[in-house]
Amino acid sequence: MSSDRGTGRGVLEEELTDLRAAPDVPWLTIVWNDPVNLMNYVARVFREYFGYPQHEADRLMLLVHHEGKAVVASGPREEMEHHVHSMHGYGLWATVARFDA
Amino acid sequence: MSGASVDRGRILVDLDAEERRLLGGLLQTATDALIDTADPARARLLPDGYRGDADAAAEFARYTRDDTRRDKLSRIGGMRATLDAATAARIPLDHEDADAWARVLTDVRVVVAERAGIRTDDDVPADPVLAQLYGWLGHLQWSLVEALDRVERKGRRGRRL
Repeated sequence: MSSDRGTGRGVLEEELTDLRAAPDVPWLTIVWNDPVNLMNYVARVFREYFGYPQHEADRLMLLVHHEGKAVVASGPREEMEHHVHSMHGYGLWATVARFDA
Repeated sequence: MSGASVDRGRILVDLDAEERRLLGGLLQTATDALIDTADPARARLLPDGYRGDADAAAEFARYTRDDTRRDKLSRIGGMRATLDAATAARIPLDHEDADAWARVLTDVRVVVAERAGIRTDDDVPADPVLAQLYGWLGHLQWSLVEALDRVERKGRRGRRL
């Protein structure tokens, strides 16, 4: 994402395996990095839509920025498709994926 | 420099007549990109919902794409109406409009980025006019998101009192 006015905070080391996803909920919402979206906008979407507190929204935003993607939700497939549909409305690159994919 | 600010809890966007005209033209470009199935920016505005599974992606698109496009066009139309109605450089936005503008500005910047050949975080537009335009749009959106965040933080503090 565009970091023209980034916060300059350091790289976070979280791995994709460090997910809140439980093994029995095999569907994920993944947000991918893109060169257009602004860091403050992406963090805002995570707060506004998913209701994440600021530190968690910022953590996920930085994960997208530095790692290229982040899992932002997990649960039933229909729910994940709804999230992805909404993320597309916000202009974020999001996809649905199986946990084991 | 043009941009958004907060004054006594209200979000204000400063855009002179030339900037409003420019933005109006870009809204039309984004509208065209959403409608024209051959526009290269369209795939970015209406992306796939699955990677590596063409069937699932096609089905997801069948159920969501028209709706996503309709919502984007509706927000663009609302912003267009506000811009057209503006008679002064200082445009007050209610919270809902400011939120919609922030979303529209992403779509507009997506189209400009596509035209400018921006594919990665490190790309900058080679064309100096596009570079200036892209930078200006980024500043406008950034300042608007900052303004929204400031108003909302204030709102949350207020509710706790």
